[in-house]
Parts: sequence; structure tokens; C-alpha cells
Amino acid sequence: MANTIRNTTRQRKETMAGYLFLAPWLAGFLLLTIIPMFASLYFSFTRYDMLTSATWIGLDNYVQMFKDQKFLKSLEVTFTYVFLSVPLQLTFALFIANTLKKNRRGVRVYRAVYYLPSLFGGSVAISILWRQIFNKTGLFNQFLAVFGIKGINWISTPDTALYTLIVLAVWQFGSSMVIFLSALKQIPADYYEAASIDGASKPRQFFQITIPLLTPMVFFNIVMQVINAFQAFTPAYIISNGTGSPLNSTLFYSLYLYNKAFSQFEMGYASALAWVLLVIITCITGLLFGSAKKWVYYD
Amino acid sequence: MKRIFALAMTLCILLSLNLPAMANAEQAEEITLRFAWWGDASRHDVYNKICDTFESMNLGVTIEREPNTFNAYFEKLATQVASGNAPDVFGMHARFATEFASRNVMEDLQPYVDQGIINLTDLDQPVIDSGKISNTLYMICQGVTLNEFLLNEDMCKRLDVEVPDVLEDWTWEEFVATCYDFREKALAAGEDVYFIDEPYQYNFFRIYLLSYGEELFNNDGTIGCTKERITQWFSMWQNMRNDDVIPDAASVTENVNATLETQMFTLGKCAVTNIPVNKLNQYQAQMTDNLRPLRSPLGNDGTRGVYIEGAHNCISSTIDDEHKLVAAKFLDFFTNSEECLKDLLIQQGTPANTQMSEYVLQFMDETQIEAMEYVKYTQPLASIGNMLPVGYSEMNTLYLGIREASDFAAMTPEEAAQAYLDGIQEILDKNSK
Amino acid sequence: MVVSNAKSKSFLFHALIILFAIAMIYPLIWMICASSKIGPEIFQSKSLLPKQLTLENYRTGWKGISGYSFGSFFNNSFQLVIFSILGNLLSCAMAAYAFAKLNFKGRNLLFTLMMGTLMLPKHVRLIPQYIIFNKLGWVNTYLPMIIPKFLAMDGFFVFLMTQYMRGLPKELDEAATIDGCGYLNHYLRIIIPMSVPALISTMIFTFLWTWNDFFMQMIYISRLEQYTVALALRMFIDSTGSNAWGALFAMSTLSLIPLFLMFIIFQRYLVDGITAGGIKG
Repeated sequence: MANTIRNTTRQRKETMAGYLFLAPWLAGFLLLTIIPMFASLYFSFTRYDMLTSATWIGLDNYVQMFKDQKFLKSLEVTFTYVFLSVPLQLTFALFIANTLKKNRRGVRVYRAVYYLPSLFGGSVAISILWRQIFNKTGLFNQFLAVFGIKGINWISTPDTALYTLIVLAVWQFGSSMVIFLSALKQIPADYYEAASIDGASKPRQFFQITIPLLTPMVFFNIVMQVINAFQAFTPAYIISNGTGSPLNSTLFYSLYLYNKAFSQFEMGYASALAWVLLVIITCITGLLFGSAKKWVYYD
Repeated sequence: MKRIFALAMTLCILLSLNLPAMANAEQAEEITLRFAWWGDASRHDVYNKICDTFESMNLGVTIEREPNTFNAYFEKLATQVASGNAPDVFGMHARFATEFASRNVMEDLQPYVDQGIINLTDLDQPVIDSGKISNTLYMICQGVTLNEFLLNEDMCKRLDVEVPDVLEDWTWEEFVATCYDFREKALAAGEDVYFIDEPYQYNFFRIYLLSYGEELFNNDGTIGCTKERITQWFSMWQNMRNDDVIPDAASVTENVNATLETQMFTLGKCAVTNIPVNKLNQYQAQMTDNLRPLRSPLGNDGTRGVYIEGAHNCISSTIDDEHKLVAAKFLDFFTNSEECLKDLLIQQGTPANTQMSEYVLQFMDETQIEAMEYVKYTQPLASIGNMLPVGYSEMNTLYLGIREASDFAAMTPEEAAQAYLDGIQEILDKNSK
Repeated sequence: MVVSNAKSKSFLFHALIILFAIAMIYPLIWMICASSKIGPEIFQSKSLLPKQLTLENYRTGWKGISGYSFGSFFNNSFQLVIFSILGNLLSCAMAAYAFAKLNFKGRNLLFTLMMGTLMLPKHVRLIPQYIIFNKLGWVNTYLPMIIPKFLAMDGFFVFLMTQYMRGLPKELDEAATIDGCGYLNHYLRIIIPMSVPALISTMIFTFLWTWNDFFMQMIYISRLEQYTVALALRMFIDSTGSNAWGALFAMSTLSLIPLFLMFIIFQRYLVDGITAGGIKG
């Protein structure tokens, strides 16, 4: 009896503490987030050109989507981008982080150098650099020429343009690497010592110790990269100044949404697109969270 | 660790003393006018200077400047308008003008002209009319330009290719023949260069239509061109591409998305490109070869396609009368005053005010004068385009997409023409609802 | 024999890493070389190295835009970044603690909502958000960028720290609750010191992303005197005019330096040291 009372008071205390710690976030959520979110949900049921007030049209925007070829194309582009760039980038980041985790000579410098590419973000400089690398006379083709291969204009050919952007995403793997590095350092060194004594090889240690203990951060990186990749916007500016060319092969979902809103003044339709994207991302992250119970290991 | 946090905290405290400066400091000026424009760094210099001059000539007026790049400009403007925070005076582009005008975002300027605040007496009627939408004067023209060819004269001389003189005309057939002639001579000389890089803009398609007596739209807002003509247009380019007389589609796509400095023309990979004539000096600054304007071809019956394009400013309809009045004075200043034009020069094309276009000559270099002379002689011959309908921006996107599909041979010329007509009709229908 | 084997292995390790690193940073090398090329040489010369080493582009670039120099832009960016970091560190860690370590009713729902806010593209929230900030009189200030950071609106970091804190050994929580030490104490004395790597990551990424974030700054900042580095760099390039590429590359190179230094200074907190603390469990 006394135990239950103690438990309920403890629970009440914990609930109060929980909400106190969340107070800033709650304030922000209620004041700055929920209104814009609901507003956009409302707009998605209207025709809204931003310059005059919105008119209610019910589900029209959502219905129209199914007939919209460009919408379907942008889904295809975005899914390809997400499913290729996220695994490649994370594998690469984990590999490099694991290689550079030990403090041997020079490693600090290497880490910094490998982090450098992600400092560029989506800057203007990157857009011109990427063209200088992947156009017809670019660096990549000069490299191929050494082996006698005559390369194409990678960045402006419909079949290859998107892949140059996937390469870009992999190249800017620094943030994921940093997160992996800090997580790798969380793994107590004596785990490895014990394993070494037992005679486990390096690769075996990696798969049996590193990977399982790293799962919370692997999970984090997957979820965040998936969310971000679905909303990829700036990379498209690198190739096409935001037109999605060539032949809509870089027409990312967010780019299409943006063009609908700000160059065609269809904010209503754009809002509907946004909510469909939200549902798609929610489903996929939902699946990830669901699967997490099976493979993510918390101490 | 502690040291660093302590350092960070001290820094923050120091900076927080600065906070009031970061917050919106309302100035106690008599009147503040917000002015938004887009452009490159040199235009920002010029416009800032012009604003300074206006302030010094109108004590008590402060111009709050909102410079931007073209890519971001209309997004910001739409957001500001939607939130009731539009700038008082802003630059407007033909691609978006009908969108903003049809939604009463811009002020009708005729009353200010009638009151004599905005003086349009030295502007030619077609130039004034370029600022009208549905017969209402929403925008005041600062400068006019023509979308023409730019020719690398030295390259043609080197390869011994004959092209028309500066003010000499030619037809589309002669143009195509020159493309073939040029490519043949270039390859014979061992140079992988082309005559032209393919003019990709919607504007240029419009020039083609006009030269055959057609138009994008009739004045009643219906489609003004025929399937045959559009098919012919796309076939012209596809045929030349199949014969390797114009660059491959991927190169053209890259070229479309390139800035001035990295275009095929600037890098010496082709001899002709399509630009607004007033940009002649910007290209010349990048190149050692001599450049000059070249007329775009005429239809076979001699009709000229090139039409007058203006650069415009307008006033927000949502501000109070006091601000509107100062804004109107500012527009007048932009178009009619020597103090402004001595800095503006041909940034926005040949000055709309004919007196001013004489006046600015003394400040200009040779290439700028060359461009101005060209406009001076060609403008009186140029056509005046019909009114553009609401949804023009979307149509522009549609055209660019179809042109690209035609370039990559993903559509036959007939398919491209049909897709264009269907797409345009759909946009027209949607916007007439 | 064993020694030389280890030596050659180490040599191979370094050689491979360096070779690969050069490939990785080639674009950066290209940019730095281009920042010393003058005018048309940047795109028309075939050689990577500039004809002559000159700081001309740095001089002209530093002059900035219409009388406002890059000194002013850097100063503005630093102010923005420092407040953003402070905001994210304070608020995101608190929220993360609640999500990771406290058990209360509604927690899972709130967590789901928090994740949900990450999934709606920013472009459709723009106008309602602008209206709110405009009503508050915050347009033309840095507040639309800073205040949300103090309210833990960067879900990425809340989630990052939540994950990190969940990975901390549970025994420590039990010890703390048995000791009867309150939640605030538990948070400040145990969780925060052990989350230093996550806090440092937050700091580094906030720095990087705020520094490079063009979109919000473009929308809310108009006056040149308030321009940040990200805004000013965009201003160098306009698709409708001629562009100062040399100056852009020069200033882009400069703008990478603070980001790079940030990483160099803090990487040891990120990857070293903490193993000595209570984490060995």
C-alpha cells in the first residue's frame, strides 16, 4: 500500500519534471509550429495563390495529384535519391569513422580533412564546382581518359544527372561521420580488449561489438537522413537552377512543391503536396521505429 | 571544457549588450520608402547610389533597400505580399507581371501621370504601353531592350563565314544555311565549334512566331499560334541537331543553366547566342574577340519578330496615400532625372526617356554606345507583343520542358507542338475559372 | 620482421588515407586556386594553378556589397551563430532529457509530434510563419532565426541527444534515483557531463547549418547592414547578370575557415577523453 502511494507520487513528480523540461519545446510547438502546420493543412483544401485569399475546394488538390505526371516523376526521383544516397552515405561515413576512430599519428588531421566537404553545404561555390567536375570536359572525364574511356556530360544527361547528386550527398558525409565518431567513443575499450583476448578478429569485433553498440546512432542517422533526403531541395539547384532539368530527372519532390508555390502561385496545391510527403515520410519512419525494437540495442 | 564554456558565456554576455542594435530600430525619419529589386553586385552598387541621390534631393525621405538575386526575389516578394508586408516600390518582371496585376497587388499609376507627378511625355507610346496590363498602367518603364543575337565577329572572320552586317536583315532560311556553312568550315579547320548554341528561352520562340505573323496569344487571351508553325520550329532545331550543326542536347542543357561566364558562347564554343542587347558590354568584358549585335532572322515575307521588352518598377497598392505619393515621385525620378540616369545608364536597357538616352551617351564606353545605337535604329521597326495572360510563368516552365524533351528527341516535333498546345490550353482554362 | 611488417602496414594505411583524402578535397583545392585567378582566367584557363599568386580577389571580395564589407557580414554571422548555439544547447538538451530519461504520460505522443514537425517541408510553412513573425515585429531582425532555437524547434538535435542519452548506461539513473537526487540534479550532474560529445556535435552542427542557412536569412533579412556571410555570398552570383566569381571563391574560402577551426578545436571533446569518466561501465 505504502509502496503504491510512493510510486504514484513519484510518478506525478516525474510527469511534472517531464513537462517542465519540455516547457521550451512545448511553448515553441504551440506558438510557432502548430499554427503554420494547421494553416498549411487548411490551405491544402483550398485554391490559394498567396496574393488573394484562399477559396475552399475540398479534396480537389489531392485528386488532381493522381493525374499529375510531374508529381509521379518527382516521387520517382525522390525515392531513387533516398534509397541510394542514404545507405551509401551512411556506410561510407561509418567506414571512415571506424578507420579514423583510434588516435594514432595524423588521425586528427585526416578527420578534419574528411570533414571538409560537408562544410560547403549547398553553397553557390559547390554548384559551380560540381559542374566543373562532371561536365563533358570536367575532371571526372579527364580521369576516365587516363584509362582510355570517353565520358559523357554526366551532369546534363537525363540518365546520369541524378547520380551526380547522389555522389554529392555521399561526398558530404561529414555530419554522419561526426555522429558515428562520438558514438564509437562511447563504446568502452575493455569490450575490445576482452574480445581480443578471446581471439576475435578485427572484422568480427566490428560486427559483434561495434555494430550492436552503435545501433542507437545508426538508427538516428538513418531516420534523420531519410527525413532530410525526402526533403532534398538545394542539390537540385546545383544542376538545374531549380528547373529539374534535364527532362525532369532532378525534379525532387520539394523542388516541384516549391515551383508550384512560388513560380506558379499554387500554394494550395503545394500544401497538399507537402501533406502527402508528410504522410509518406511518417509511414517510412514509422516502419523504421517499428523495426527498431528488433535491432536497436539500448544498454 | 569549463574554460571554453566560460569563454562562450562571456562572449554571449558581451554580445547581448549589442542586442538592441540587432532588433528592429525604428528610425524617426519623416517618411521611409521600401524599395526591392533584383540583380548582380554591380546593379546593387548602382541602385544604392541612386537611392542615396534621391534621399539627398528629398530631405526627410529614407529609402530602405531590399536587394536580392533573381532566383530568390519572387519567392520573397510573394511571401511579403501574402503577409501584408509588401515593399512600397518593387521591380517587376514580364514573366510574373500578369500574376501580380490580376491580383491587385500593384497600384494603377494613371492618376499620378494625370496629376503630373509621373511625367511620361518623353516616352514613346509603345514604351509606355509595355507597362500596361489589361489596359491599366501598372508599371513605369525604366529602360527598353531587344532580345537579339550576339555575334562573335572574330570567330566568323577566322573561319571565313559570311554573316549579315549589324543592321542588315536575313531570313530563317538564310540563318539555317549559315549554321550548316559554319559547322562545315569549322570542322574543316579542325575546330569543334558551332554557329549557335540554340536559343532556349520562351521569348525567342515568341520572336519566331511574330516573324511569321503569329503570336503566343491573341489579345482576347486565346492561343495565337498554329500547330504547323510550332512543329516547324521544333523540326528546324531537331534537323540541325541530327546533322550535328548545333550542339548536343546535354551541352545545351548545361548551357541553359550556366551563368554568363560559363556559357558556351563566352567560352568560345559557339559564335552566336541570344541576349538582351544591353548586355553586350557584360559579355565583351569576358572576351578578347570582338562582339557585336546581329539581328534575329525575319519571316520569309520579311516580317520582323523582335519585340520591345521593358524593365519596370511598380508601386504596392496596399500602402497609404502619403507613401504612394513619394513612391510615384521615386518612379518619376528613376525614369526622367539626369541625376538617376547618370548612374543607371543602360543597366536596364536604353533609357525609356528619349531625352535621357541622348544624355547618358557622354558617360558610356564604346560597347555600350554600340548597343544603344543598335536599339535606337531597330526599336522603331520592332513589333509590340500582345498582352500576356495570367499563368504566363507556368506557361514559361511548360515551354522550357517541352523544348528540352524535343532536344533530347523524347518527343517528335509534332508531339512537342501538340503537348505545347494542350498544356497551354489547360493552364488557360485553369486560370479562367 | 614483425616491426617492419607493422611499419609497412602503417605506411599503407597512411598512403591510402592520404590518396583518398586528396580526391575528396580536390574541389576545395580547385576553389582555392580559382580564388587567385583573375577574371576570365577562372573558366577559360585549362590549368589548375593560377598564372600568378595574387590576393586581388580577396581584396575586392572583402569590400563586399555597396559599402558593407565582409567584416560586417562575418560579425553578423557570428552573432547569429553564437545565439543559435546557445539556444540549441539549452533547450534541445532539456527536451531530450525529458524524452530519453523521464517516464510520463503523453511522452510518446509528444515525441511523435516532435518528429512530425521535421517532416513538413519548410516552404509551405513559410507564409503563416512570416505572418506570425511580422505581427511580432521581428522581420528585419535575427529573432526569427534565434528564438526558435531557444524553443528547441531544431528537432534534429532533440532527437540526436535523445538517442545519445538513451545509450547512456541505465545503472547510473538507478543509482541517482536511489540516492534520492532530484531530476534537475540528475540532469545537471550526471546526464549533461556524460553527454558532452552529443553537445559538442550539436554545437558544431548548429554552427555549420546556421552559418550556411541561406533560406531563412534571405526571407527575414533585407538590409545590407544586417547581411550575413551566407546572404552576401549569394549576392555575388545572379543568373541575370555578370558575376564576380573570383571574389566569390575568395570569400567562400574565407567563410570555410571558422567552420573548419570549430571542428579542429572541438574534435578532441568529440572523440577523446570522456572514456575516463563514468561511462566505462
